[in-house]
Amino acid sequence: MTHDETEVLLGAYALDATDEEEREQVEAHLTSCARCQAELTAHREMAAMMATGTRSEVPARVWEQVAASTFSGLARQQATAPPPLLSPLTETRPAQGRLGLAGLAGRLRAISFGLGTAAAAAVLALASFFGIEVGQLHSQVHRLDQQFTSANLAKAAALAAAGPHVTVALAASDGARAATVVVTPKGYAYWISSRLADLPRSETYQIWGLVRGRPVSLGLLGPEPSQTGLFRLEAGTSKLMVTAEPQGGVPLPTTAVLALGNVPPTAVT
Amino acid sequence: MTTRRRNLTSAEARRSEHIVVNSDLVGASDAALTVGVARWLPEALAEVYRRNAGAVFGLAKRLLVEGALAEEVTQEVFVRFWEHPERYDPARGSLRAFLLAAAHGRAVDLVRSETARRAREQRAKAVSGTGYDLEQEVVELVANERVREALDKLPDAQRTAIELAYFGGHTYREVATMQNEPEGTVKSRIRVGLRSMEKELAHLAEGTNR
Repeated sequence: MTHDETEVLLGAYALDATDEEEREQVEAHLTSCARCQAELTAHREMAAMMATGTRSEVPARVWEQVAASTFSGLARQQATAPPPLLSPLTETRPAQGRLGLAGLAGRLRAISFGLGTAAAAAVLALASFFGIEVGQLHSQVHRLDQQFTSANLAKAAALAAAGPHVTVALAASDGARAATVVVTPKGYAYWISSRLADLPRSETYQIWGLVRGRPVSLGLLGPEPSQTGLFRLEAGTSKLMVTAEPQGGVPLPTTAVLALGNVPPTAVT
Repeated sequence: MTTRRRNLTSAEARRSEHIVVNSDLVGASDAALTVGVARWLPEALAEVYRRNAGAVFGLAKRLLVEGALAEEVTQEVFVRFWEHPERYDPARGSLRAFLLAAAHGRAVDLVRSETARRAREQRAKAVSGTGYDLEQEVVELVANERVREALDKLPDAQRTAIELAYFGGHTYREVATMQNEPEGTVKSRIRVGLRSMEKELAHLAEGTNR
């Protein structure tokens, strides 16, 4: 679709009034056209202003459900005994490129339950790796905004790939490449590409490391694992595996391995 | 699992209440709140919710009519934001516009899907013909009055096309059928209308600043 063809659709697109095919075409164009992106932003703001007039009182149960499906789970994890081998650090969002999440004290507590202090230290190392300090939320916002985008994680992955690293190819059962992971000698592992099909939202891909013959959860990749993600590998990890699990993850794999790759013994030093 | 999730313990309920009234973040910017959510701070999510849930729910209800579906959409929008705060880019507009766009997209999917057939039928009964009557709405903010003014200044055909698309969840092709006009005309009508309103509001904002 040319710029002119796209431009004329921007109003309808902003109001979700195009058909599927046009929507995809507009989105493809938007990735490379700052002018159309700016116009879309203006239309979306305009639409939001119109919608504000329809504001309506939300039943209290909606917030209760939001709370129950988000942070209440964190609190429960901290309160209960550590699930074996489940890694709360990477549990929900390794694929999102925001290692700054490690700054949350509650998460650190959860991590120390689940993985011990070595993992907590690794989290702190990751946090400083991204230049993020705990407790300065407001003053560092602008810098953090930049750092939290997946684009930056993609850059970090590119940097990692430019230095010493090992590329682990994960193959599906039919032998086709399902995903690629770049592992640095220090054990930072970047999930950089994936051909895994999207899962229903009630499920998630979970990545596992095989350590001394035992599967160790490295984290959840979410139902749409197309973005760059970051997780930690410990020395001695011999294989990476991906399974599809219920949302929230499981302590041990419950379904067939969908993708598998060998990690060379010297990958992590 | 689901049942357990939905039934908050009293301690959790107290915690949620406490979180809702947390005042530290009341003046925080969209970006600051998003960073807070990225760090899994419940208070940040609560503040985002406090500011935007009314508009998100209102828009969803407008489109879906059925309150239960609108609640579902609202819940989904905020849970998704908690899970993927990086999808919001402060350089591309306000958090409210982002959340409303998410809610609108989801609501429109439901409106167009088979599962919402019943809601659609109800809606057809509730809304006669093409008249989406914005006058019904209680305009509570100055900004809204301006939006109303800007909307009022549009030629009827443009205004109706925008209302049918945005509040009615219709595609521009459907609107073209309703308005008995060529699709291309309606397509550009929506865009031209939005642009005129944007100009009008920018103009008003300038006037205020002087």
